[in-house]
Amino acid sequence: MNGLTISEKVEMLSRRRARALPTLAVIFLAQQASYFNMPEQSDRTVDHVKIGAWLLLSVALLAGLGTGGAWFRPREIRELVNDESTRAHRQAGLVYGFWAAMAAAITLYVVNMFELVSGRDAIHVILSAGIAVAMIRFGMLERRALKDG
Amino acid sequence: MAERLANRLKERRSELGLTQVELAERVGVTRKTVNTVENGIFTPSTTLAIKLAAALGLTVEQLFWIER
Repeated sequence: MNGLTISEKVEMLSRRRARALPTLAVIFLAQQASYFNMPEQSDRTVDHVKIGAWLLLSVALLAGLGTGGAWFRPREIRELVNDESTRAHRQAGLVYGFWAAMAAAITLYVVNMFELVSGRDAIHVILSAGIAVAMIRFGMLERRALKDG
Repeated sequence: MAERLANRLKERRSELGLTQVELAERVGVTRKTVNTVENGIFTPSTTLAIKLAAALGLTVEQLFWIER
């Protein structure tokens, strides 16, 4: 990115993030398939690694959503990448994520009346729904905003 | 009835021969933010509205108004 002005760097980073958010959300959701395909009461090391990896990814994505990312960029760039409209979009994404998590929790409550859902499975579904929906909404708003005026 | 914050940002920016990037640099935001404000997608904060008006040599009321 050498030779680019700050505005150009910020534009590039913003576009990259807008493209990456929905893609990451899809990868994140696809990971769930392997979790729910695991045999019940699975105690193999590989399964613990899978769950650990999912948790780490969840924490990283949550941290990205909460702070706006660009952690290793200079302060000036980090502030511009998270300027006023971006913060508003992120906030809107987090609101969508909150409602998705609530909807998932209510759905699980109903399902649990007919079929036992373990605490770990419930947390998995609620966390995944909240994070993925927030990321997709944030990404969609950013993509729309980045279209040339 | 729904209210909308209308603006003459694009018109004034063109009058002064500024690009979205140049205006964004003057007020310390990204081109994306200027673009969304111009298109009425994003309602700017009071701080940004004042900065935009100052950068374009207008008052906030001359730059923004409520459309019903």
